[in-house]
Amino acid sequence: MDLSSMSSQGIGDAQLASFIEQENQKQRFQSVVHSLTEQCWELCAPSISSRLDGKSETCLANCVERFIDSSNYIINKLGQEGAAAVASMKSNEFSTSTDFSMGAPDMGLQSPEFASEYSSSSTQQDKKSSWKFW
Amino acid sequence: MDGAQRQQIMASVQQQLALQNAQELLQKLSDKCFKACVQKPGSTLSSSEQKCITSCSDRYMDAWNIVSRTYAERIKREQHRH
Repeated sequence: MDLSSMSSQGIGDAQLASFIEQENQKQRFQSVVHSLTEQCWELCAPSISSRLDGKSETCLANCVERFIDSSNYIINKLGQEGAAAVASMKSNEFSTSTDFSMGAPDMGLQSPEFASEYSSSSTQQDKKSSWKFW
Repeated sequence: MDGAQRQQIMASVQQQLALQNAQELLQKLSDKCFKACVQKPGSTLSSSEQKCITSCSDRYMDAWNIVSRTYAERIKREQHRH
């Protein structure tokens, strides 16, 4: 049974809507756990004994944490480079008469960490340039 | 839809999802443990192969629990951070 295509919007029954939302969330969690267990099992190559030893347990926990770290890293890195690529494309390809009021194309990479990092770096540059006049 | 009907539907959905998760776990476990324990398929499953599969299954389920716990705790930590 796959609830993922069912959004809880448009379902008049509020209790069912929130139930579906909860169950969808639980299923997404389970899905990640299944996939991570499979991958980390391969990497951690548990010993032949009947129960997992301490080393394997540590390896599995590390594997999960590092996987999440690398996912976050990829999202942030792609976010920064995506914005830089868009900025350089604009300056090279478009004439000054181009209407920029539409803003940058939405690459679907709007993560909160990226957005705050990008805006803070541009204000820092403004501060740096004002220093030169002292 | 009255309350009893709704409860029934919700319980039934949860049952089906639980079954689905158990099936997925078993399927992945079977893959891994067959690969690990049966290198040369004979005409029957030997007792050493059976022992290996039992141990492997226990270990895989332990691993699943560890991953589940670690992932849940990590999510909680990330939520407190932001």
